[in-house]
Amino acid sequence: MSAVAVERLWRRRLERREAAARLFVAACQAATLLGLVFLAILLVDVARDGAGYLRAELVTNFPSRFPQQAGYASALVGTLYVTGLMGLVAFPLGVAAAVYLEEYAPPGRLARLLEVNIANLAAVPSVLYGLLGLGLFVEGLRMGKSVLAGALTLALLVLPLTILSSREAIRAVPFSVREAAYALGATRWEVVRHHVLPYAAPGILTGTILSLSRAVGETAPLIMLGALQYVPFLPRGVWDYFTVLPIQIFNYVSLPNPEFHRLAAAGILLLLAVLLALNGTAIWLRNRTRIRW
Amino acid sequence: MGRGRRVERWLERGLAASALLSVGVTVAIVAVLVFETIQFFRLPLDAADPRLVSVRADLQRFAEARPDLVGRPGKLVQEFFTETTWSPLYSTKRFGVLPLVAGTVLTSAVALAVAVPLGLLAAVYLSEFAPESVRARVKPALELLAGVPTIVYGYFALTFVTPFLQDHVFGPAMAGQNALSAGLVMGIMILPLVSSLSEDVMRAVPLDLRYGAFALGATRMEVAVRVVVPAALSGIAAACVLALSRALGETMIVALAAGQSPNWTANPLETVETITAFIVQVSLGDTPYGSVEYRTLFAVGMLLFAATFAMNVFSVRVVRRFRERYL
Repeated sequence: MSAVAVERLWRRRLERREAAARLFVAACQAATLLGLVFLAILLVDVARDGAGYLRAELVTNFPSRFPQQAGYASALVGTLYVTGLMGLVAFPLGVAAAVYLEEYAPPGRLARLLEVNIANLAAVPSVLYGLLGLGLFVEGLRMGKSVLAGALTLALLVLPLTILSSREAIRAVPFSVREAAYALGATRWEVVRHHVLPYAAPGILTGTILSLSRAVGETAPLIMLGALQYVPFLPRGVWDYFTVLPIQIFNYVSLPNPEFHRLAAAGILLLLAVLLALNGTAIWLRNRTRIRW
Repeated sequence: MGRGRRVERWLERGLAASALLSVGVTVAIVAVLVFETIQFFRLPLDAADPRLVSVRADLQRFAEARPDLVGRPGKLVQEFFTETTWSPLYSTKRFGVLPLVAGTVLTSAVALAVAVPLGLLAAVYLSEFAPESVRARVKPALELLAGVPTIVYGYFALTFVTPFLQDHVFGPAMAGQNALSAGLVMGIMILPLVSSLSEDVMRAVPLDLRYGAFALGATRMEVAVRVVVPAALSGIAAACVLALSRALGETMIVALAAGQSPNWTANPLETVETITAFIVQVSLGDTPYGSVEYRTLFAVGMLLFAATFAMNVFSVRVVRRFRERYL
């Protein structure tokens, strides 16, 4: 075969390879776009379904057999109550564990065991935390199906996430800060208390708010804790029955009457608004307090 | 000084205790599941105890429905793992868990069939082709998919995807609750899990490898498919296994859209019930502590825990090996 023929052959193959490459890049773009398109369709569909029920009664009325009179008052308050209580438990525990792992724990088997364990916990299906809460808090410790049992269960669920995000924030504080404090004779706790934590605080808060928002959307574990009852009152104490937004939405979706589906869609909009507010706060906090080293 | 040091030591102990609490949570999960699972397999023994049966209506019903099991826990174990009828909530009381396993595997398989190809293509795009400005916007937008509460996906699968597929593709052959719609939507939900983790490992592949391939005349596709993907393969595998573990444990989408009737089938157009959907179904009813229904919750929960735990351990192993080789 002459050199010219070889070159022609090579050119033809090159063209084919490049056409394949263009096709491939387009396929990759399409795949990426598809996820975003799906998200857009979902949001538009929910907004269209729920728009008719976006009115004041949505947040002021209690659940009802009549969709026109039904609302999410007890669910919204329950969500805020359970999430707040959960934060009070998960936040200090998560930060303390993160401080220990980053600042105190000697590297070795214990540290590695803790690390692997936290990674595993973060991947345990949430429905199993529900079984844990049912067996341990509701039945074992006889808390019953109360706000407290729900908050503690969710606290265990978000604890690994809080630890992971707090550790990242603590790790981002440069070592020179610690060295300077040690050089001035500070003890380990003084270094942590006066230098590491203040610098890491914005990151820790942002991470914690994001893990809280994960709990706000959780449904499955709370079904096991009995949050599905018809709750026509606002929870007053930690021993009260309660319901939360996702559960109330689930309740309405399960009913055959399509009016209730529209009410559920309106509830989803409410839930997304709560999540947006939480995440917006987290991003605002991060941008406002970001420290550049 | 002495007092200060003592305070410091107590503080350190307090912090260590918080860290150890996470181990306590793992132990508690395992302990609760194992304890109640043993209680489940002890049902035949409890039903053989006349003092218990005389005061417990659920044990009476169990003994009446299944006289063949009374006093024979071994037979219950065998039935649980090998038979294909699951009806602990009905009067027939059959305890073959395989239909729940089939439902779980079927919905997860559909989800993976969506998430793995799309997630990998998206990861390749973000890591290899997308300009930095596009990547910085698209990646967080894709991750939004993982932040949407699963109840929202469940609503969407049930009220939009299924009617859409019934009207335009499958017609009446598709049940109102089916494995396909639930799996498709679940696949979109776990897509960012595959794409984000895979993209991270692809970006960790040294640029030199790409330069070498380009210098030999490879096209962009050839570099991506034959150099970058193979080099990142163990990390990609870990991402897929994690996605599978998430799909197996996903609850609200399948509880709403896949249905609540245990079905020993491989047809994705039919109604099925997953392990998680069964747990929800039982929890919706009244389940007194220690009853037959209560114990089945934990037996199937144990199965789910074992499966997801094995996968998580596997993916951590794979990632660790990967790290040693490339970083």
